[in-house]
Amino acid sequence: MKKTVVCLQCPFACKVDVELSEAGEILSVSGNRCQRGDSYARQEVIAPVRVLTTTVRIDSEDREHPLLSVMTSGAIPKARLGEAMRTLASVRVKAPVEYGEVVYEDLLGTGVNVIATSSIRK
Amino acid sequence: MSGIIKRNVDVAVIGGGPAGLGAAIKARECGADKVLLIERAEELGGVLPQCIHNGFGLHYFKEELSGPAYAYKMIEKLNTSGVEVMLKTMVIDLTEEKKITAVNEQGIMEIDAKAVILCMGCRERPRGAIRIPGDRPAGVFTAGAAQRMINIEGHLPGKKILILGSGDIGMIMARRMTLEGAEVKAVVELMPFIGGLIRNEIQCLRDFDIPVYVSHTITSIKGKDRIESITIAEIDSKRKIIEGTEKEFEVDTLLLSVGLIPENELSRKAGVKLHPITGGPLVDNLWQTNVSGIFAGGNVVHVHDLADYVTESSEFAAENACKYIRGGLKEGEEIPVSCQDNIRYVVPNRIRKNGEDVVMFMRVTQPAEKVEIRVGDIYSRKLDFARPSEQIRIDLPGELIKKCDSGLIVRCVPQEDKNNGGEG
Amino acid sequence: MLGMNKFDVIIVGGGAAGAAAARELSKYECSVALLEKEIEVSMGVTKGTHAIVHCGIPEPDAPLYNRGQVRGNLMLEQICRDLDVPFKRIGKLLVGFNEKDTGVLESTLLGARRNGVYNAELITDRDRIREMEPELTESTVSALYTPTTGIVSPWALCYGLIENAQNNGVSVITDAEVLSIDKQEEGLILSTTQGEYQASLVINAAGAFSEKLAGLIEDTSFRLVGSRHQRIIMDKNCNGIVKHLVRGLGPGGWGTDFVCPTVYGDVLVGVCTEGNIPWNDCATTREGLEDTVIPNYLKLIPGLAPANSIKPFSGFLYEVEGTANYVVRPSAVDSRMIHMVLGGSGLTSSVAMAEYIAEEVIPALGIKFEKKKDFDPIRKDIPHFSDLSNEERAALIEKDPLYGHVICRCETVTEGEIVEAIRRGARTRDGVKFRTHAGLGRCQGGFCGPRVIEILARELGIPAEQVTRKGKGSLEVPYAIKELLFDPEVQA
Repeated sequence: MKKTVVCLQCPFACKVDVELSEAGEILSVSGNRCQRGDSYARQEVIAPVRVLTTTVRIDSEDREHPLLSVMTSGAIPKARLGEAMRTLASVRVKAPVEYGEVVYEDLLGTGVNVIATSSIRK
Repeated sequence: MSGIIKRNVDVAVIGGGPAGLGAAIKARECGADKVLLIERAEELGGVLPQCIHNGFGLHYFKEELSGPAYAYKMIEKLNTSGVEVMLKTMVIDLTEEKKITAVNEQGIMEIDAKAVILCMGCRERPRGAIRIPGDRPAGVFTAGAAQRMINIEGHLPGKKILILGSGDIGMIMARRMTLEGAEVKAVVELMPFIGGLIRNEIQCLRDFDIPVYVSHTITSIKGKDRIESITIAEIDSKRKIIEGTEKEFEVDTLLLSVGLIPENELSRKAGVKLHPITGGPLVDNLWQTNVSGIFAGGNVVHVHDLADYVTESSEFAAENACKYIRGGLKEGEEIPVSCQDNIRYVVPNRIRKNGEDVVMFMRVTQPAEKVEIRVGDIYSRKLDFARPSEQIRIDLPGELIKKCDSGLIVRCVPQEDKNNGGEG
Repeated sequence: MLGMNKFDVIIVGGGAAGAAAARELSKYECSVALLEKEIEVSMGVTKGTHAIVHCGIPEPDAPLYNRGQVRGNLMLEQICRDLDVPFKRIGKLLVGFNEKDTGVLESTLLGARRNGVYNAELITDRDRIREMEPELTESTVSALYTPTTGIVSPWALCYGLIENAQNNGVSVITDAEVLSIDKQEEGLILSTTQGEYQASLVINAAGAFSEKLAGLIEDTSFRLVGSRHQRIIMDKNCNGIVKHLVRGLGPGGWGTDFVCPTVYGDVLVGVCTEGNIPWNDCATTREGLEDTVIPNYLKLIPGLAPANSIKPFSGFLYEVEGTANYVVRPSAVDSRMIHMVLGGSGLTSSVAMAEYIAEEVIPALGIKFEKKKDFDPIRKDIPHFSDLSNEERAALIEKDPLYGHVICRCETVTEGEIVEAIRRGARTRDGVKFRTHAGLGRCQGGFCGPRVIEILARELGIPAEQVTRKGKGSLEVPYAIKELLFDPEVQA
């Protein structure tokens, strides 16, 4: 079985072909121009991961700024993005929050934290 | 009768987004004494605070940041720079003599500036400009307006979404709305190819199995109060609808990502001449407009790929604005720059032959592989690919410019020798 | 009946006709209420008319129409001045392209003069036409010039009339649709979505729904037919491309396609006219815009590039079937209902027909209302920041700092104006737009829309999720963030 992955490590955007066995083992990787493309394609085929950027609610009556922008400190499994969104939907942070502060620890047991990408005063 | 507040500054920067922040900080670094940054919103950052996705800062800060993080870092720099900031202040007039009229809740101000840097950015093309036919119900938003509602104000504009235009904002909003629980039924693109970056095509559309219809357009919107359905159809190469290809989608919301237009109402008032394709000011290689002392930086000139490049170009404009107020701009004979073949536009539009290096930005009209960018007969560069979504930068040494006598024509032509590798 | 609202006169319909009637009757010693079925006034046909104040070219066998147009044109100049409503007498050129057209224009001219349009003039000097309209197509042979033709803002006129009427004692009740009418001896009892109202007289100014209202008292004496008119608004940077209303001569001696300045400085072009469409349909079509409106207006003004379009829209207009004449008379079923059915040209005639009702129709029923001694004809519009001098702006901001906060950048509309519009009755984004022009410009509310929604929510004390574009189900942002993540329908 062959899967094609577009590598996103640089603007070349190589189309990388990954050959898989029946058991799902990687037999070969081709079409990449560099080693980064090889490891990216392997990861994409076996267990794709993404950094999640979203918002969490701020516990405040202030209508002008009800949300804080956040991102995961590392990538989490792509398949669990929906679950992560529902988990973070119930998070409410209290002001003040510093830029880079952890607002939620160990998201879905992945060991990845959720950090603030802006700050709120007050 | 209340008075009008009068002010004098060295450099006035209009707009506090990624361009204006960069320009204002740089103007102080270059020694301008009184630098005033005027921003119409309640906070600095322009569109950055609502762009909560990643992809900012890799060039400028050497780390991958979200939009709010990029704004945060710029504002941190600004806070120690000695720039004076006016928030919630709208510039309502600008003259050729560099007199600015601005308004805020304190009153009306008339500001005389020695140099002005236009950093107003761009705006989204609305529904009317592309004449989408049908009913006129609620539920039509530009992608950026929807982005602000979702990421700043905390409202979701709808549940079932169709997006017209596959530009980056459109694709990013497709992902964002999907993550927030809405269902994006289709992304519809007039051109035969996707308008935005490949990375967004994969991580925003394919990741979520969102269908894309290229070479399609909207033929009708239905719904008296709120959108009830949207019909699309395939178009041929002459943009005529192909009968029988209509598809109707039951949606309540339409997001438009059909292009950005540099925002130049003020520039026009000051007599700044605009480029017919970019919609931005015609600038020289110092990013000075045709009006002496009025410079421009960032997306107000042409739409850049990345906020990093926006900041970079406005910093460059600021450096030159500072030289200008000290009388230190190197004069030189001006030669016009134009484009042909697959080049859609090139910036700058004229170059001073003063021995200084020149940076050129351009975009192609059609995607192409194995091409050569030729700048007159003084420079050429081979590229493996050229895509409309990715701006091309060319650095020209001042020595080369000295060699040309008349105008420079920039072209994108197929490589003559196909075996020759390119730079990409 | 307990708690019932009793009025001498109830006007049904808050469009141009009802607004004119309200203001006219507010000059008299009588209690008046105006009922509007939508959440705001000026939401029906009035909103979609073409803003032209006709000069009075007559129609055969249409005495009220002919009288209304000439008299209305005459009255509107002063009324607009009193009400602080933009009105410009720009004049019209009805353009002929051949000798046969010139002949038609000649007889039109005679008719116009007979109806009192004495300054109408046929111009066959092509140089003079070119001087008047340099961008007009070279194939112009002749033009009927009527200097009294004007332009007005239909909704601004409607708001002005109603606010002035309110100031002179008229009650305005919105969101009040009349469901049934009971003919009792003491008066007509109107059951509405806002409760019951009793009136000695009812004025049927329900516009496109006036046939339906007449039906509530079993009056089937007139029928309405509807038509849809597709047009495009062009960007302000086209301002000045025409100075007059320019119309091409079409079949039957009437103008069809047109290019016209608006009082707001943009340009209106049209038109694709279609009958046989669903009642009150205001959709545009690809064929209508691209294959009719654009090629046809280009025949008049070839230099006006279609790329300048900022808003295509359709207006729904209605007419009384079988006649150009108006139905302005007491109902034969029950003379306590007075019809005021004007149709598509009613904007010009509304004030004249309101005067006719007050001075002739009502007295003829044996009812006499005394004139008020303290009627105040003057109404000031919301201050439009963009029209003021810097000194005036500074003074305004000193009084209210919200006038220093620009919300709509295309039209330079401030928060102060938006808050004032809401105070005067705006309940929707369209209501704010038509009163302040926020969202009327180049970007069509793309930038200010979300901000206007926030201001409406704040001022009306409702969540943003309940703010509408134009009432009813036209919610702007129906859901709160994170809400859909747990929505069973979406998650399924």
